[in-house]
Amino acid sequence: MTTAREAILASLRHTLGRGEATETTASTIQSQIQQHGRGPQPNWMEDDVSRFLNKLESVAGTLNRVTDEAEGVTAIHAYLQQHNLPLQLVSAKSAVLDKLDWPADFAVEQRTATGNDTTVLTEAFAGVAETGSLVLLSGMDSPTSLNFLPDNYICLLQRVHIVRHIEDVWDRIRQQADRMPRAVNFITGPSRTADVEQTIQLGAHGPRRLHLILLE
Amino acid sequence: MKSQSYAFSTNAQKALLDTQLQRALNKAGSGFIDKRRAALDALPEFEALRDRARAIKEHTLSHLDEYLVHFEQQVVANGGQVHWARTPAEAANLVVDLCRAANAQHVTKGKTMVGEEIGVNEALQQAGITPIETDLGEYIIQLADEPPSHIIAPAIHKTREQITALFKQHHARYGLTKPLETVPEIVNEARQVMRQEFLQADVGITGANLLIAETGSTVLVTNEGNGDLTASLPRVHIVIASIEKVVPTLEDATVILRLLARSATGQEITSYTSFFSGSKRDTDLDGPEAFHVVLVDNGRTEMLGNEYHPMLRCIHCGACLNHCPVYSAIGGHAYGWVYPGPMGSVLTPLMIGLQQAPDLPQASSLCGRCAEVCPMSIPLPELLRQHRFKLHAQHSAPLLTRLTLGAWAWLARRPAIYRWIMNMISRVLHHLSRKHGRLRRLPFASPWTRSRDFPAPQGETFMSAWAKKSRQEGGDK
Amino acid sequence: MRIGLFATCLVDLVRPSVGFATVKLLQQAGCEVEVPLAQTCCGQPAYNNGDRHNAASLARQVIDTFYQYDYIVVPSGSCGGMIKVHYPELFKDDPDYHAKATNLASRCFELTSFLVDVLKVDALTVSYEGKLTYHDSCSSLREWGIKQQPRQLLHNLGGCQFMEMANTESCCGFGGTFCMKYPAVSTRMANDKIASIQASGADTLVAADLGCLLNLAGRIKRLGLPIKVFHVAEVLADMAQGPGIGEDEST
Repeated sequence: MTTAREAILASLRHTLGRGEATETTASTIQSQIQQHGRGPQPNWMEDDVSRFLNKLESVAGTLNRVTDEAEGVTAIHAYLQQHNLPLQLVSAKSAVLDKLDWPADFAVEQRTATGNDTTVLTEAFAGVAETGSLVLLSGMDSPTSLNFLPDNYICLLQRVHIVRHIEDVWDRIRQQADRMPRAVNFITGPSRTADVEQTIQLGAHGPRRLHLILLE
Repeated sequence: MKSQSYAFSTNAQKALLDTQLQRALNKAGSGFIDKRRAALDALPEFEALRDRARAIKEHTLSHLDEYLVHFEQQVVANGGQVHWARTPAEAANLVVDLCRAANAQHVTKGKTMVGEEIGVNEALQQAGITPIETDLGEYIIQLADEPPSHIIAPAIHKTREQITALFKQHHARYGLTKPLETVPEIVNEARQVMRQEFLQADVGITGANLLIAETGSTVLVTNEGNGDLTASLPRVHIVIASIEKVVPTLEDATVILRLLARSATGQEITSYTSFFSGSKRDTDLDGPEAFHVVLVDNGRTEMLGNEYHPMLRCIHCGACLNHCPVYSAIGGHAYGWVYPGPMGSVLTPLMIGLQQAPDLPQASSLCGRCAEVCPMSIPLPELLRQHRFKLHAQHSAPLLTRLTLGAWAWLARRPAIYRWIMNMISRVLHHLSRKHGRLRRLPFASPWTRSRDFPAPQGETFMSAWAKKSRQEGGDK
Repeated sequence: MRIGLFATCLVDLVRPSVGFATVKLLQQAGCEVEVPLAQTCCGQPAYNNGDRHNAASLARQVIDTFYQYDYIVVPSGSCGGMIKVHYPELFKDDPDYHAKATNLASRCFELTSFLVDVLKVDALTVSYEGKLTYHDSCSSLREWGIKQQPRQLLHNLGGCQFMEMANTESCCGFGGTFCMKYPAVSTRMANDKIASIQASGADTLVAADLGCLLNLAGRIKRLGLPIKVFHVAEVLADMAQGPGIGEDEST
């Protein structure tokens, strides 16, 4: 009995006028995949960092630029106070995040997020100047749930990790691993919806706020 | 989903008279059109991207079997599984089986048009599982027990008052009884309700905007983040995707993503664009333990080899709907099935049969705006005409229509008789108009004269007047 | 330059003055205009209703009749578009007529495009007293890419104020047999277009397709609105002093 898989593939091959992939046909798609050529890309006048920050702000992201980890902590402290948020963070792990020296009144835990967490702190793998996106990769140190469950999303990004185009992210990922991580999230601003009378409302199901700490 | 497409004419007329629907459609108005325009004006590379995207799709389609096999290999290498389904029933049953095998008590679901196509919600419900729609628009219509009316904004036909009424009715059981008025209040309450659903789900079902052969990834594009919460929190993630969604590489996906959000909502990129590649790994702290992709055919292998082939390039952006004057007047429900607007008028007859939806390809002035805005260069009016060729061959039209058009063609092939008859008609109608320049009634033309006067002919045809003038001038020479 | 004028069935039956205006404009510009007798219909109604066979018969008739001219000029983007864009497709399995159709297509022009792009008519010393707005027919826009040419001609008219309306590129709801098959939807589209006309402040509507004009004039008159409707040829040929489309002859 033909399985659905066999039937579908046979039907496709019949339409395309050939049998199963031969060495010649297989090499066509192999070379396409290996070359992974880029298509047309947008361009801009400003430098990439300015572009990145402008785009971030245009999608309702807020930011602080800081020169070192201590300033980062101060900025985060100020942000939480500004929005009347408890001094509690669920944090991802990273070389930089682990170095942050939290004051005594802060409660910082490094774990996956639950439904009750107010504020999260992660570090982005990259920032994309083209779109103002933050790129987060799933992993032991950076669980995906941190990106989506809490109301307030603070993300640290090292300035050197700002890349120009979306495709630059793929090259960076290919450099560091054979496979894609389980999840790659491009996050561009807080969560939003326009499903009620086409009126944009932030904080649909994901975070209501997105705050960037850009570290020199 | 059971189709109502055969009742298009009646439903279209009802839609025109539905004041709440019209109010909602008016509110949506030219929003999508203006935003798309602004996005395109800001991207000089748009046309080049369109050309590239078309080339990528055509290349992929000409190697579709190979790319699907490569995709499958990569998904398996990532710890996932791929299941193939020829028909909607096969696909829906696969999803039901996967949910049963996972002992699913709670199922969350992101928006998936292919899911609608295969009737997955109904199949799950019949198996005693009620999937909760997490996209706010889908959630609203789930409460209303209605199908989506737009492929990007499923509840675009609902007014705020209608939504607050639905919430009032259905949220009492959560202890939420405060009367809602504003948009923030509505979204907030939905967020509250959905949180619990996200956290307790065993299985999450999503669609996929794209499948990437190179990496075995599925791509999900949302603004709400509901797709990610559905994909990452439960033990099991099921992706429902049709076979033509596959593209070769991450770079190819990027080209298409540049077109997708701009064409759909005018955004450069949505708030969340996510790439899922398999199940939870040893190096993951969270994520689904099981990752399944259900590949759906449902007529697409057939389309690959026939005149509807260009339709396989569709990326479900909804630009054609947004720019269609017919869709803008009647909304999506009148089309009667999953896919409305121009793309729906092409797809629906292919998937449920032309006899079930004979009006859809005909309810178009062939204005061509859809093809103009389609990021994938799909010649939609040509495809609608292909359906019309088939309808004609099946003698589908009412007898009077066929006789009239047949008589017209017969006459037009005989210029001398044609000229004589047209001149006669011109004289008669001009006489009937009593110099008012128009006729309020015209035999056999009540569809016109119900709402419009008919400008009266000038008493003589051009050909007759020209012949007269030429004779006079010839005489003068 | 020998022009074969294809008047179109609507001009022939309902508004011959458009045909005469077209001839006047072409002769003014120095063309020799002939109106071959064997013209009737371009075949578009058959084609859009799925009847390839009859469409092809009528197309052969048009091709055979007009092949001898240097150009075929049509005061309609719609019928002209049928000839230019769709005739070659109609004969894709008939190499002989496919070649002829392709050849004729290259010599087929819509009126305003012919005046501006081929005859290089710049300004016409013509005036029109009124506030004029222009509706782009779907075929002119999308089968011909015509947008700037009629405006160039109309902007230079003396005594007239050109008011660009919003949504010029939205379909008016005519669509040939569409307006008969789906009259409620069609009327709604016409209403939307008329709302745009009114919002523009114009007192005169002009377009290059008689189908659109009959549809809109018919609805305008039923609504009792004081908007005059003319074909662009009539205005450009200084033949817009009399009654507009659908208007009382005593006007």
